[in-house]
Amino acid sequence: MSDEQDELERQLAAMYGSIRPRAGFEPDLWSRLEDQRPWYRRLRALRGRAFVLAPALAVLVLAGGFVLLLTHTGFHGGAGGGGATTSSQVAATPAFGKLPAPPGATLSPASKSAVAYSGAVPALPASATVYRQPLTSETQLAIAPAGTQATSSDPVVAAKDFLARNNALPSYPYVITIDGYDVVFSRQFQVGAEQARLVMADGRPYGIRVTLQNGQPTRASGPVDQPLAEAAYPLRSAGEALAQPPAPPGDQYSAALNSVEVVYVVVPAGGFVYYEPALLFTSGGITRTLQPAVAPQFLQQ
Amino acid sequence: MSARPPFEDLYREYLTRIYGYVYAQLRNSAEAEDVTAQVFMSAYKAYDRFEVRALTPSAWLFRIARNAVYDHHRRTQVRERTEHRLRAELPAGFDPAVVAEDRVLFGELLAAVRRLPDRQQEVVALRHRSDLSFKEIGDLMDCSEDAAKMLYHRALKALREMVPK
Repeated sequence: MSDEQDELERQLAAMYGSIRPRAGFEPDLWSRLEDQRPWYRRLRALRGRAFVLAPALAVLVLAGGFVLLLTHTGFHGGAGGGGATTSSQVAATPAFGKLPAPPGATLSPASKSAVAYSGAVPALPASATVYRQPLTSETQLAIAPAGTQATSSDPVVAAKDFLARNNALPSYPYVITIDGYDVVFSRQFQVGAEQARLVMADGRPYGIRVTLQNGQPTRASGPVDQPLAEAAYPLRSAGEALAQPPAPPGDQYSAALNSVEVVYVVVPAGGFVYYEPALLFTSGGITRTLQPAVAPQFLQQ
Repeated sequence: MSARPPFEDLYREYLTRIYGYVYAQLRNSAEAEDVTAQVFMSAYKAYDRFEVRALTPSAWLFRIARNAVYDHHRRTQVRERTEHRLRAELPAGFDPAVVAEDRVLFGELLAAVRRLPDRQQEVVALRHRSDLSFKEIGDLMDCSEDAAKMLYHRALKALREMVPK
């Protein structure tokens, strides 16, 4: 095979690899698929569904829930830092109710016998803060460059400069990742003593995303830097989560997972975007699969 | 007997791949989303009947995707219009803003792939998006393994001529 053909195939691989649907497509389509489930398999879809017995069912569920849980709503100002969680913040009833699970996340053990996790076990606190932001056009950045932009050959510097000139450089702690042609400013949240970055359900970084072409910023998009609603949720123990690592799907069923990172995953649902703590498993730094860190009883099944 | 993986796993693993395969053969992300949605809706309904022993999940899903793309072309007859437009207007009519909007690397290469004959487009997309072997690609495209390889290398040859180094 010639070098020229090698190069062409490399470019084809990069080209096809860069074709991805928009960020909200995966959860949107999954939600439509869930609506196809027959009624007896659709407990998960009961949320938000007009159902003949819904009022009575809701009363029963709420009555049961209120015995165990106390309402705890927090809408704290100040975007900086994401807010460390203390044990006093852990109310019995998290304010947001049962959380939507990250799309594709595996909540129950299944036929995962071929999967083994051999990495270090992260220390998870007993609880962590879940954040919520309305999902509207007002909460989503959309910046296009006006006129010629001064630029730097360093994409990170160019992206930072672009955001700063548009008053959109985030004030909260963030980590910067290069994702294809994009520079992503992922918000970090406190989980115990660690900072956890924000990712999408497929493990790619989520945040303010600056797209560059030839070193020139062409647009910025992502969540507006604004105060988030907060609620503390109990976490499952790391041991429990690691005892049931989700299998990498499809062809990689036999993959050995050897690394796990505590992250926050963005979950759009019901007109909101939730930022929920999660465990991101990797295998050789490539395979990614994600499992919620929130205790399963607080997740919609 | 091989266990059938949960559909959720298939969805996570193959959504992006199927979308890429579909997108490369259609005009834009909106059409690609519609067709990708159809693929997974169809797969979801048929999943109870899917036999892992008979077909790998990848081959099964790409077969559904291939049919969905054909159906889409039949319904809209967009292929003829697109090819005509591309052949008549490229490179002047090539809109890099559309590709940039979808953040596709090597946008001119994608435009060149879309100018290939249908079967060459398909074999290139399958080779780079499905992880199927040439044998499986041949099965999917109703030709032999050798014919699939030949088709692929012809596509590469045509692309080398179309895309400036």
